[in-house]
Amino acid sequence: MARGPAQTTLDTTALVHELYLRVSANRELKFAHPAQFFAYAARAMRHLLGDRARDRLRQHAGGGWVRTTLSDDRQIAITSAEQALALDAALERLAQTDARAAQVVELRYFAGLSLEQVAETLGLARRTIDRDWRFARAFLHDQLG
Amino acid sequence: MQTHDPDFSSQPDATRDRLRDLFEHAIDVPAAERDAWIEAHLAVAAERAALRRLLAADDARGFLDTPAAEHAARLAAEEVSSEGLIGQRIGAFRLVRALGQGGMAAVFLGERVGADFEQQAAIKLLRRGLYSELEQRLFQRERQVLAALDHPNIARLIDGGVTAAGIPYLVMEYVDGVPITRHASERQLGIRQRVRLFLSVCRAVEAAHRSLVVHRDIKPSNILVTAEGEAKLLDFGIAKLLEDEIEGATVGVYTPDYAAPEQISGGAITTATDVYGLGVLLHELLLGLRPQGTPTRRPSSLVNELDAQTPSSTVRMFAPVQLRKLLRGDLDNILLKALDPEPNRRYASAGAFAEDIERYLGGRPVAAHPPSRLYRTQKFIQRHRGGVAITAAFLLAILASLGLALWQANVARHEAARANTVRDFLVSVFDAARAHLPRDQRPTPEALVAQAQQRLASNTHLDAATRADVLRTLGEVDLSLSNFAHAEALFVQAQTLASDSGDSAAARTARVLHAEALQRAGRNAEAMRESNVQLDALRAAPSPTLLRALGVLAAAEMATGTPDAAIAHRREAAVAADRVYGAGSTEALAAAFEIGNTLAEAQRYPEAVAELTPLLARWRASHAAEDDRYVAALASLATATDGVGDLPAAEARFRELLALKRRIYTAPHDAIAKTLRDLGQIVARTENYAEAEALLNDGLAMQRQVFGENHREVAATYDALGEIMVSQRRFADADADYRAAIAVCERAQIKEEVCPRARNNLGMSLYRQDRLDEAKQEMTQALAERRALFGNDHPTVAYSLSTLANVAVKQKDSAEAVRLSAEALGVLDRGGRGASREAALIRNGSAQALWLAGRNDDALREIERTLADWQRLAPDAKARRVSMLALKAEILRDLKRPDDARRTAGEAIAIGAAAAELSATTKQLLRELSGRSDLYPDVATTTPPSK
Repeated sequence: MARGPAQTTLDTTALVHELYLRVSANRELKFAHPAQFFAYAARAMRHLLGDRARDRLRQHAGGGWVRTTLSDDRQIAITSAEQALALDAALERLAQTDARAAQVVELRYFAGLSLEQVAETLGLARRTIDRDWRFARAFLHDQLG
Repeated sequence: MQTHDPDFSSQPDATRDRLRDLFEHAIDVPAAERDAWIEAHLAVAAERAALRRLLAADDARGFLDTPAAEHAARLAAEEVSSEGLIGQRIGAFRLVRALGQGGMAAVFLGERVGADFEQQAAIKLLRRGLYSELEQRLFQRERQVLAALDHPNIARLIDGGVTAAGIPYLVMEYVDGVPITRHASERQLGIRQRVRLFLSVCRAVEAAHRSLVVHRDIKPSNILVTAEGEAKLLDFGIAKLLEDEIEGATVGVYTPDYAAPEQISGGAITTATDVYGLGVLLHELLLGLRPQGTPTRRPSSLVNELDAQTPSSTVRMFAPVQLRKLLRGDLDNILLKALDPEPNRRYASAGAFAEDIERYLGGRPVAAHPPSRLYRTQKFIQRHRGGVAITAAFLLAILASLGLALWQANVARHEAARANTVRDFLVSVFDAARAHLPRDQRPTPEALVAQAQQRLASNTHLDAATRADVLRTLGEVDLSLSNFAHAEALFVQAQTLASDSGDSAAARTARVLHAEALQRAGRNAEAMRESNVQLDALRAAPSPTLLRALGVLAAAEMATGTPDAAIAHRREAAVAADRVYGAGSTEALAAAFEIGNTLAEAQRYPEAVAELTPLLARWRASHAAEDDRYVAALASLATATDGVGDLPAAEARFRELLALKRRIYTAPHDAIAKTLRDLGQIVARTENYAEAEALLNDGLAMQRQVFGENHREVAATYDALGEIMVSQRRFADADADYRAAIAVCERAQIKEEVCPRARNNLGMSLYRQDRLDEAKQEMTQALAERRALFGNDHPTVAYSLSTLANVAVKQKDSAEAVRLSAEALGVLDRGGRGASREAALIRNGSAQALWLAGRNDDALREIERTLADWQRLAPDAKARRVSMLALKAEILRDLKRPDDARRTAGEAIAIGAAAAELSATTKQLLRELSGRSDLYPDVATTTPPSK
């Protein structure tokens, strides 16, 4: 299936919807500070990515739905799915040894904050965040192989 | 995937820290010199390899260089591709050809396999799997309801299930026909023929409503007419199956052009929703087009514009003048009634709708009247709705705005419509701003509001009333982000604009929101003033704004320590909600919940239990969703049940709450974790320590998953664990837990009550181990932290002082104990809590300290006041009263008033407290002072404790 701009638009809208469902379902949460929200949103995004990756792999494995040939797109998606799950696991490992670096990854990557905003959110020096991010990125990419 | 090079994470901790250090140095070394640098700094080959891998990963591009949202979009479940599935077998059917594709499902024509008879069916495959057991159970249950629907004009549900891969499917009666609108135009049906055909649809919907099934997605493509001219409704109740019920979400599955306002706003879906859908259908059948937004004028007046817009079938058949004449009057009124934005102003049911149609066909007067007042359209928003192509960066910002607007402001469901408005408006802001923004510059929600405000200011096409609406909406986003000052400014502007444009209702709403901003910013007195000013005008015509104003007042009153007034306002709001939403409606029940919640918060537990128990039962009986409001009320009931001392019932409530949250939220989730902790604390009081500990540990594990190690809630759970350990006299474990809580506080620099509380509890644990110097040290620090956090006059400061007084007593420093108790009482007095239960307990300690210091006259005065207060505050707390009287008797004895001492001891004994609840010391004292040696034979006679 061709993935033109229209397809991307559709997916992004669906993504808003899905994230929105997750966040709005949780009205019990209260955030005193935007930082708490971003931490939460990052979690939501991380879970969403993981859920989708698992769904995708399940779909890939599920009997009636497998097609005989794999298109490039599908293969890329399967690889992405595997990598997304590997990232999740690697991030867990990182969190065990370096909780702050893992937190930086969540805010930077999953909540989409700039490094400056991450520094602000965590109340740490920009330099510290830069170092954490650079190291965490190398660590995670190495783990993803 | 992994090479066999030793990787970084497999290195021992010390090596890893060193490697990180080396990595940070190595990246600054020019690439050409790196190898030599590594050789020089690392001796072990494995370590060298690990560092090289890190540096290689640093240089290369990888997964994290593509935004998360792009990955997520790529991973979205792909469309079911029809050709790949043809010929496959689903249930008893083989897929023959594709009939259509929808957003959520693909439909195929299927043929029964291996049967003697030929059976065709429509097979619907859902795009997304139902993986959890709960999802599958819900799907199953709904399927059974639908299978029971049996009506000649409704396509039957034949079968359904879930494939081995978890893909749900439905098998439905196959209808060979064309959509109703196409049928009408192909057959050139006249107005009355169309109305008659519509009537048969109406009757079918009515039959479904009698079986309590709502269609939710009535539209021409779901109503096929066969060659024989018989209408068949497809997909009854399917929308509900597709809806994301698990997440308790308010956004359902519907077709925007045909959806009722409450579907878009996430309101309650009822039979009135289908009445609206039927109204849209009739509109389209008669005029050839759907109603345009909220109806602001009579449908027949659209006729003139019709030929210009769409070559509608009816318009081709009739001259405009003729068509307008045919529609004007009854059909206009019928359409406007069916399409009313307010569900309760529409026809009460499809049956009532059908009857009015029959009256029209029979030439009798119809029930529908012209609406007394037309609703203002929100054209502004409609203009900005549309293609949403936004980047990942903006997604979260949108979420920040509308998600928060929804849950934090705790707005009623109907107000979710406004959140959608915000979303649409913000999306329009993004669309405009996107091209000009550097990729890395991700806007915060605050920045978005500012942008939206600027855009609004530069937009000269909008009238004042619409501006006021948008400003108010933006203010609500700010409110939800706790930007109170900015929210306030926006509400003031909105109010001015609304009054200038003569819309006093909108002005009042803006003012109430202003009051809410003040209240949430802690400016309670001003908030009360602002709300009170408007109350009379609002009371004249109860509205959601009145409910909100009363809510603001109640919250301010609770915050300023006038719970009676708060409860009265909650009661008033509940009565008003009955009028606004209808007695017994979900919204009205939710308003009544607030009475109970406030009673529980005011610690008026027996009343809270009496209020909430029947309300929760009614909520369940009405089959309303067990949403956040239900959860909050159940939590209040659980707390109140505990408060009235009914421990087994409280435990049951907390277990119910836990089960409910487990159903609503997906673990790990902090809402579940919190209830695990609450339940654990209750269970601990039943002395089932093993389970209590397990519950708290589960909660703790979940919180670490959700929040990470450094979070207030993690600290609070460690603190709760400590308390359980103290109850079991496992002091070493308790100290470890309290210290863990303190460590979290220090690492995350948390500045909240949980931190000094954990420290003070550590002090109490040390105190009970007679490690008095250490205890004093911790308590002194906790006291300083509390003073820094809350100032000098906070009740927790008094509590810290009183625990220090306990230490002083044990250290035999009675002068210090007297001083500390007096200071504690002073704190409570200044905070207006001099006559509270806590004050009475501290005064009891003060009396004891005075007595120990030999100041018997002062001690007597203090204990008498304590007893008077206690009688008023807790007449049922007998054991404590007995111990107070025992102290008084002891003081009297030392004042050489033996007769009074004996009388007082007798008074204590006469209270009849259960012996099991009294301490051995108290029992000995009473026996000795009363001179009744037969008392309390279980307690050995020893020398009474000396001073």
